[in-house]
Parts: sequence; C-alpha cells; structure tokens
Amino acid sequence: MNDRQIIRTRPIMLIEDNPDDRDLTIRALRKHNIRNPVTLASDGAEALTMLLGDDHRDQGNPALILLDLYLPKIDGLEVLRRIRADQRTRAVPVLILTSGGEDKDLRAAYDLGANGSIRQPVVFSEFSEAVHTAGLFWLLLNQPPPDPQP
Amino acid sequence: MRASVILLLILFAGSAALSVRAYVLYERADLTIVSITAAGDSLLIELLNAETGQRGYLLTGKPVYLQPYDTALSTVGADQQRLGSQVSSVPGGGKYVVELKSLVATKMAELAATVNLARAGNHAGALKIVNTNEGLQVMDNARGVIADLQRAANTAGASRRSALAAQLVAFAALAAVLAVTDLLASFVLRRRLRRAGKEIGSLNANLEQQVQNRTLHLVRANKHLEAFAYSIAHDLRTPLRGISGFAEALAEDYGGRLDETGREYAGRVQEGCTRMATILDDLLHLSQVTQSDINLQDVDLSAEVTAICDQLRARDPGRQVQVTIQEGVRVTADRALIRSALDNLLGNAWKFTSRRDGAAIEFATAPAGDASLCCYVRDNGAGFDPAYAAKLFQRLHTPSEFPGTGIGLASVRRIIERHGGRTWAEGAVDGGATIYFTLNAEGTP
Repeated sequence: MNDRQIIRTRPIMLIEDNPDDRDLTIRALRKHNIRNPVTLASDGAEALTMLLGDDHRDQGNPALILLDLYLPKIDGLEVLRRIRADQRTRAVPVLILTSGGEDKDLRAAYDLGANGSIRQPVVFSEFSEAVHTAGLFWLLLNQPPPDPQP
Repeated sequence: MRASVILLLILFAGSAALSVRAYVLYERADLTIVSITAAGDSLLIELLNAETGQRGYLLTGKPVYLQPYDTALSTVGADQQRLGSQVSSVPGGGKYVVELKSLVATKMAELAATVNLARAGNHAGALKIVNTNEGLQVMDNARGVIADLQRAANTAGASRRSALAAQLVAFAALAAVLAVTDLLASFVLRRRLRRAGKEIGSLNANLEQQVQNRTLHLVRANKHLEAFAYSIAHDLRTPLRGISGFAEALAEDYGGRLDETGREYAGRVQEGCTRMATILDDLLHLSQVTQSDINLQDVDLSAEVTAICDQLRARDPGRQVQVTIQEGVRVTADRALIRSALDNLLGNAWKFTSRRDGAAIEFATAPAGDASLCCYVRDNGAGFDPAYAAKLFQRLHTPSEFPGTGIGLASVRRIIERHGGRTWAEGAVDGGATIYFTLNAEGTP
C-alpha cells in the first residue's frame, strides 16, 4: 500500500453545524470523485472527542480537516488551538471554511496554525469548484506528514 | 420699556429747557423794572434840570444858566421814548406814558414860553407865568405819574417774577422727577435685559446639551443599525447558500426527471440566489466601509488607478479601452478605503463601456470650489438619465442590463464622506458618466 492509497482511504473530517452546508459539502466532494470517507462532527466538543479521545484514536488521523469557525459548545478557533496543541494531531492539515468578511477570525486561525481557508460563496457552484481544487491538492498532491510513531 | 425710557428722556429735556427759559425770563423781568425805574428817574431829572436852567436864567439873565435847559430839551424826548418801549409789560403802562407825554409837553411849553419872554426882555411877563404856579403843579403831577408808573412796573415785575419763579421751580422739579424716573426705568430695563440675557444664555447652553445628547443618541442608534444590517446580511448568506446549493443539486442530479419548464424554474432560483448574493456582499462591504477605522496616509491616486486598470485589462483581455490617467494626483486618505472606492468607480466605467466601440475611461482632477482636491472618473459608456443623478448614490439593486451598481456607488459616497469629501455625478443617457469626488490634497490633514 503506498502513501497515496492510504491518504485516499483515510477519512476527511468535516466539522460543521449547519446540516445544509454539511450535505452540500459532501455532495461537492462526491461530485468531484473524492471518495474518502467523511467523518462528521456538528460541534466543537464532538470534534475534539473524535480527534483526541482515546476511544476514537484507533482509526488514526484524518487526511484533512474542514473546519467551520462558528460552532456550538466549543468554537472553531478553540478546536484548532487544541488540535495544534496535541502532539498527535498537530501536523494534520486544517482548512478553514469561511463565508467572508471575518478577517479578524481568519487571521487568528492562521496564527493558530491553519493550513489554508476556503471561502464558502453563496453561489454553490463556486464553492464546489473550490472544494474540488482544495481536495486535489491536499488529498492527492500534498505529501502528508507520516503518522507519529506510537 | 425701552421706548418709555426714551420718551422720559425727551420729556426731561423739554422740561429742563422750559425751566431754563423761565429763569431767563425771570432775570429779564428784573431788568425791565430796573430800566423803567431808571428811565423814569432820568426823565424827572431832565425836567428838573430844565426847570433849574430856566430859574437861573430868569434870576440872573445870564445865558450860561440855560445850558441844562438846552440839554434837557434835547434828551427829554429820548427819555420818553425809552420809557415807552419798556412799559409794554406793565399793565396800564401805555396810559401812564400818554399822560406823562402831555405833562412833559405842557411843562416844556411853559418853560419855553418864559425863556422866550425873558430873552425878549420881558422879565415881568416871564415871572408872571412862573408865579401862576402852574409849572409847579405840572411838575408835581409828572413826579406823581412817574412814581405811579415805577410802582406799577415794580408790582407787575414782581408778580411776573414770582410767576416765573414758580414756573422755574415747577419745571425744574418736573425735570428732576423725570430724570430720576428715567434713571430708575433704565436701571430696571438694564436689570431685565441682564436677566433676559442670562436666561437666553442658559437656554442656549441647554439647547446645546440637548443637541449633543440627541446627536450622541443618533450616532449610537446609527451604529446599532449598521451593526444590525451587517449581521442580517451575514446571517442571510447561510440559508441562501443552502437554497442556491440545493437548487443546483436539483438541476444537476434530477434535471433529467424535470421537463423544460421545471429546469427553467430551477435555473431561475439559482439566478435569484446569485443576485441576492451580490446584494448581500455589497451590503457587507458597505458596512465594513462604514465601520472600519480611517488610517490617513499619503496616497498616489494615479498609481492606484493605473494598478486597477491593469487588473481590469488582465481580467478582460479582449476589451479595447483607451485609458487616460492624469499623473501625480496625490491625496491624504485611507489607502484601503480609497482603493475600494476607485475599484468601484473604475469597475463601473469598465462595465458600462462594454458595448461601446472606442471605449474611453479618464481619471483626472478638476478645479474645486474650495480648498479640497476634486477628482473625477469619466467614461463614454451607457451613461444615465440626469434626472436621477442624485438618486444614483442611493439606489439599491434594480434588475437592469447592467446589474450591480447601486450599493457600489453608495459605498463610494460613504467612503468619500468619511474623508470629509463630496460626490456627485454628471451624465446623459448613452452620453457617458462622470463621477466627481473631493478629497484632501496630500499634506492637508
């Protein structure tokens, strides 16, 4: 099994509380033939449990995290801070989903170590294109960090 | 109140003048008594002088004794005339003068008769006339009339003087009363004015405070509204994204199961979403423009315009647009905001000249009416109806052949206004448009 196949089979984690955005994002991924399984978290607390909780660690890190900044319970910035603070997840690529006009939060996200951001334009086809391009890069072209030795 | 103070002042001046007049007349009345007395005495003395001369001549026969007589002869008339001119103010004065005149004439006639007889050598005849004692009688009568006249003059003068004195006192008193009243009135007036002035002052201060409070309130309310508009625009994007996304999914995934009308409807939903998305984006931009801090620095507008036009060209390489840019236009402004305003103006110019052969866009300065720098962006594109020039900056999106202008120009205006400048537009349908704006030239804060 080469690395690329591993990446392909590793899940994409989508942390998003809005079911519409969630379903449309999954549809955009599928439409562009990104076949990775998608793990869903609908708030920050759930996301952190799935990423850092010992019961859930057996699947390893996701290939990519798509993170909405505005989440119930624990917000996106805090989720990002804890992902970067944990030795096991600090190198996982994280892309921020923004709807634009949140410059301050986006800057904070980069300061905390976000790898990039995808604007979610209102017109869905544009978002779909963006997801496709980002998926191509992060899931196919990018050489991901090897999993830390247990 | 002020009118009455002035009226009192006039009355005071009048009564003061009247009292001065009374005083002058009072003094003049005294003078009349003195002159009547003097004239009467003088006349009597002249008569006595004439008689003394006559007696001396009759006694001695020496003509030297006639000298007082001759003198009297020439002055008696003048004395009588002087007396006559003074007696007008004495009641019955004329009567005394007439009486005196006839007595003087009789006396002078008697004296003349005796002197003439004596000159002719008829001393006996002359003495005979003297001895009749008629002359003595006339003299006594004249003395009596003069004394009567002097007494009458004295009485009349005294009563006139006392009347004038009463007048003088009355007018002086009136003047004094008026002066005091006037002083009081002006004092009261001044106090009232001062009180009114204080009241106006406190009312003004109050009003200022009220205006300040109201302004503060309005500013706060405005901020709330803007923040509200921002969050509405922001929050509306999420459901709109859902509508747009699912409409697209419907068309793509289930388009085959819809007939042509159904597919068209799905397309219409997407178009509506796109339009609404533009409006929301512009609203968000407008809010950001309104709320962001202003960071003033020197900005080379010519360079910014050049960069924007290069971008427009790169994005739309098929277009042939002649761009003319005045060099060296420098202002003091917030670079990011001004850049956004120019983006808008040049973007519009680019868009509205898209159907024009020989499209031209110009950026330059124009003479400003004041100290500011007046710039404009001109194009020869579709233009607008000048009747709507004022509304150009307020209009929200209306579906038109060139969508997406209204809020853009509103943002431009907001940006320029936040720099203390003004915006206005000139244009004609199919005659191009010129958007003017004023800013502070570089170096003027």
